[in-house]
Amino acid sequence: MSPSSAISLSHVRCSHYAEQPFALADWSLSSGQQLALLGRSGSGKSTLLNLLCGLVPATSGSLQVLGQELVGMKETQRDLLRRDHIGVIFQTYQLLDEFTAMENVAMGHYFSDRKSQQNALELLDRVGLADLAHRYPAELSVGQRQRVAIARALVKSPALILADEPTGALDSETGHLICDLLRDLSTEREAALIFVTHDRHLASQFPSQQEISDLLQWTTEGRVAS
Amino acid sequence: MNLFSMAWRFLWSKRAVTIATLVALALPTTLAVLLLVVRHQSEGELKKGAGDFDLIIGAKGGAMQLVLSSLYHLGMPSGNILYSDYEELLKDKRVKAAVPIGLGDNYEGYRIVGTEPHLFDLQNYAGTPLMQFREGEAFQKGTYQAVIGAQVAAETGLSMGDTFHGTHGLITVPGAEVHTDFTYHVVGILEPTGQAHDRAIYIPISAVWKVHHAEESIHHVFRQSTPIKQEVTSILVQLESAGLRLWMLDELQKKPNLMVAVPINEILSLSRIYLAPFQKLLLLVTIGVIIVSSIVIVLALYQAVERRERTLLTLRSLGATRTEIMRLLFYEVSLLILTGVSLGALAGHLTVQGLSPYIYQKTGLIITAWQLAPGELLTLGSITLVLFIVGLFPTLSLYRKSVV
Repeated sequence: MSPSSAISLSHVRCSHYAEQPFALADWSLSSGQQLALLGRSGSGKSTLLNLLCGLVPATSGSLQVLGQELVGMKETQRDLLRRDHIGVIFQTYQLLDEFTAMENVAMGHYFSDRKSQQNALELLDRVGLADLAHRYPAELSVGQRQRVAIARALVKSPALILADEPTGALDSETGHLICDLLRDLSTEREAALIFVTHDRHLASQFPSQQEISDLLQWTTEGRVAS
Repeated sequence: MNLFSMAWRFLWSKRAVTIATLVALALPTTLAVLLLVVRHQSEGELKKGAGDFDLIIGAKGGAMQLVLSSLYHLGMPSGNILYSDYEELLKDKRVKAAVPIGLGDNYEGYRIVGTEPHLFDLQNYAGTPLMQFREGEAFQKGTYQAVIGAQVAAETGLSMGDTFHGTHGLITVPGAEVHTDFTYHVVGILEPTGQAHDRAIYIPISAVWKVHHAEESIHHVFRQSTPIKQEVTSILVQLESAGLRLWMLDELQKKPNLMVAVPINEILSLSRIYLAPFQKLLLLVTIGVIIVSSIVIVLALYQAVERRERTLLTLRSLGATRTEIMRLLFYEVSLLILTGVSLGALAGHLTVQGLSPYIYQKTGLIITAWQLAPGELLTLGSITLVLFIVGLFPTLSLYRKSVV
């Protein structure tokens, strides 16, 4: 793997989901690169992101993320890699309803040991929500919730951001604003960004795009399905 | 924010479910504590009075009957013995103190007990006075003065200086003869003791004789019999040493007209007979408590896991390890168990406090609410321990389960 690679895949297979094992094509993502990953619903986007952030283990091959080999790595070590260096954003924000916007953002670095944590309020200010810091998710609009989720993913200054259809639940205008915000923040922090979307127009704004079907293939009995 | 405060926030955010779970945990614990405290204290109160006298001497009959009628003012005595038996006993050097008891009348259901005024000066082995005056003082010999127990004062409304008449018999019977020729004056009211003293009206033994001598004189006219001699129902005896009990018991039992009982022995056997089923009930309730509470905690935990699967996934995506997720759930279950059991114990004692006036009114027993019963901490600890062990299963299953 090149030192400048954020992700590098080689002959990766995963049988974590016994009913749906899959294989990945050899592929890499450079540090700071922004990639739009295109795919329809059910094409395996979330499955791929779970693998890349270490929530799901790869069975064989080589999967290097931020210079660390994930194949064979213990789950706890994968958890530590994710907590310190990877920011994850979900389509449905996944904010914790019991906590305020500010607390949700701070939660982003609660589990992190990194000393270079950014102040949660600074991040909320950066995404334009400083005035709403003490509101609960239920009191925010969907767009505001997604901004909180972005701030939460970035508060630990991750080197890799994985955004799983972050605009999927938003109207077109808000979706574009969120996309721009995410790209700007990723650029500012020199973080690699994988932006999963089914919106080709949105994907066209990214310097590089990739079809998920070119990357992930479902397999049967260990063989790549034709 | 730490994992513990996070757990608290999760519980607080689902207040209704949390409160329902706490109530389900607390209620059975309340029942167990209530039973433990009432059982222990009523047993203790019963035994407390029993140790005040080493022996009770009365007419031939049942030992238990003698103890209950003389010491607890319950049931009917088997007969009378001669006052001269009492006088003879006073000459015995082994006897520290002896008090005669003469029964026969009641006032509004409370027994009028003829005795000697030195009864109020007696102390137990610990040096604590058996009775203390809230108001007034002991009656004078040869008078119709009366000292009333705290419950008598509270229930009948008699107060210092009041007068009343005794009714013939130990219990209130409609149409029973009222001794209107003999008027008693209240000269003393006792402090509550939680013992039978509270339910007694003490008068000089001479007053009992005079009232019943007058009665017997009328009978004499009709039956042509001689007037009765001075008699007492029983004699309460304190010895110089508890070790003398069996010696004197053997000696006195040989007398053809006397029955002797050791009160503490009778009360202990009474406890064994009547409190044994209570002990079994208590054990069953405790087992029931543990089973019900265990089911509650397991359901609450599984529900917590199911309800917050999305939350747990979020925490995992933020980098929380399975161990941290497990700790989070463990803190939640700990808060539920410790709060539920503590609230249950608190509610148990509060219930005792609420019930104690009623128990006192009905039984004369003083139940202290804020006193730990022996075995209470052990019971609460066992309930808590079992709940923690039961609570570990869903928590461990979550550890094994992948949240993705």
